[in-house]
Amino acid sequence: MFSENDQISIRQVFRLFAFDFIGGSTLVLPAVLSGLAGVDGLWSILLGGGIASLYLFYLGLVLRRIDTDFLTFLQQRLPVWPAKGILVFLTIHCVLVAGYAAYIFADVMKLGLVTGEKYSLILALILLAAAYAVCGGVESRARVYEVLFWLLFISLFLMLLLAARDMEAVNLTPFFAAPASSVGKGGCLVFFCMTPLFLTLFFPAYVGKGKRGKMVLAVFAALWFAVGVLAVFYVILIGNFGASSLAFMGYPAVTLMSSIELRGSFLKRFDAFMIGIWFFTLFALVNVFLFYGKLFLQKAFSCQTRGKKAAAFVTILILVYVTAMLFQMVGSAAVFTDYMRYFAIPFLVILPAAVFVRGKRTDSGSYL
Amino acid sequence: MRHHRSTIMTATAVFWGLVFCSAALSGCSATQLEERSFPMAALVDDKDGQVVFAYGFPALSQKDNTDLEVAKVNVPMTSGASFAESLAAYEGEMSKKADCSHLKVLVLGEQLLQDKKAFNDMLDTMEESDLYPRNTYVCVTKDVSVLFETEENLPQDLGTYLELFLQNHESDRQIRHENLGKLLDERRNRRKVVELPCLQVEEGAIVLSDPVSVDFRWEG
Repeated sequence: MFSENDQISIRQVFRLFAFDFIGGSTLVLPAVLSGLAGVDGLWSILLGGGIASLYLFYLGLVLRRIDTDFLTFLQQRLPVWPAKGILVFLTIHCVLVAGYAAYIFADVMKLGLVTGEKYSLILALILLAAAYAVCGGVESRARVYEVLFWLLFISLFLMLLLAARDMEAVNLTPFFAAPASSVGKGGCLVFFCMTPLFLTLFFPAYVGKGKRGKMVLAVFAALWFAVGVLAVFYVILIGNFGASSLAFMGYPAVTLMSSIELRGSFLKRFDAFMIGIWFFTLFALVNVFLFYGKLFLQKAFSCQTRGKKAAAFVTILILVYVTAMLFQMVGSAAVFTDYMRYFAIPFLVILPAAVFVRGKRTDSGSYL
Repeated sequence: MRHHRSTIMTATAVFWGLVFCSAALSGCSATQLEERSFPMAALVDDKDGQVVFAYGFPALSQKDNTDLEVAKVNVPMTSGASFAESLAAYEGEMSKKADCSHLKVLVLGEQLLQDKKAFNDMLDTMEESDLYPRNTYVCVTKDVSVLFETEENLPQDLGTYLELFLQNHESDRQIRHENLGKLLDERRNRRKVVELPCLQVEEGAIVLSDPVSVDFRWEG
């Protein structure tokens, strides 16, 4: 029924990225943006979308100038040790992002669904399910998200429409009251949540030849779809709870879903189903970083045999588990934000251009 | 292809094996259903500087199908210096753990609303501990013990009865019901006066009276 050639369609690329962008951003950002900029957090969202678009444009430029996907280019054109170093850093980055996403996932599940259960057990089961999904390959995941996409998002839009009834105009003021620096900080945080964008560099391996331009456009569409969902969510959350109250909430999107009043025996517990949106989107985020973490580690240590590949995968799983446990112990959001601000973002911005320039030098035979 | 399938099959077997083991190991960690009771209403008031508290339970528990006498949840109102203390005293008297996820209505005494410290203290406890669902209706009465005593004459338990009562009067546009979430939000936002529906007992029947205003701008 389905081909198994490790290739996915452009539509599937759009849906994969949309899932990756939406999970973490809609859960974590509203409370932080509200604390930083109040109603003006909406401008932060648009600013973050703008910065992310520029970053994607830059990635698109690099992709246009290389013949293969970025991973192959990196391995073919760079000397062995710098290439290994970059792959190790990318592995660490994937472990940290997957760990943070897994931490949020387990935390939301514990708070919203299985309050009495142990965090470590929930986390272990999530990671085992994610490991199983990664074994299925990129095509399996793409098919699952493709099927789920409209089912989840139509339900979400209906719930948001219902929630919009309870908005209060007084909560949507004052506009243009936050300082520009706060709006700017908020914009950077939105950009942090959109950094799965850098995986665009590695996606040409999974789409057909000659489809790169369309792939980048699909990622761009997914980015603005996610920014739109986040902006709508933010306005509805502020309108319902007010900026000050929103700033004190842990996961306001989940709170909103459980606050929407639905009468009727079946619909009454529809909110429990709606939490599923974050389960699927966070699962997608954990999966994609688990997948690339495994891939980068395998490439960094030239794992060719089946046993070595499996060992690399198990190593990544254990590292992600330990990272998520650590995030639960320390002030996770602050640690993760600092890591993104001081290490990850500068590296992810410089890396494509640096590798491209160095690779082209190698091409022309002028080794340094 | 065969190689790929066998990897997936092995992963599936390992996954379900671990799920089975974890389920077997974690069976006793959470409070079992039989160990819980499910209050439908919570009543809080202030009397002579003491916060008084009680839960209202369904006559025959709809949740675990046990009789109230068997469940031993007929605890009289308890009192304490603060809401947290009186709640702890009440729960100490109960033989089962209160699971408030089905709570329908929170009834506050007028006297409690006058005592801003006790009222704020109660909201703090509720917010910090996520004690009750945010969509629990909130209403006010002059004396919660009078309302508590009418339960015997009601066709349903107090919580379910008051929920339907408030919903019916809202659909008649006589009141606008507020919930606990709204109360907690407005306390943070400090921008509004919230009007809570007020109930009173007349000749054994529960009727509506003029709404009571709670001004959250006092700290602003």
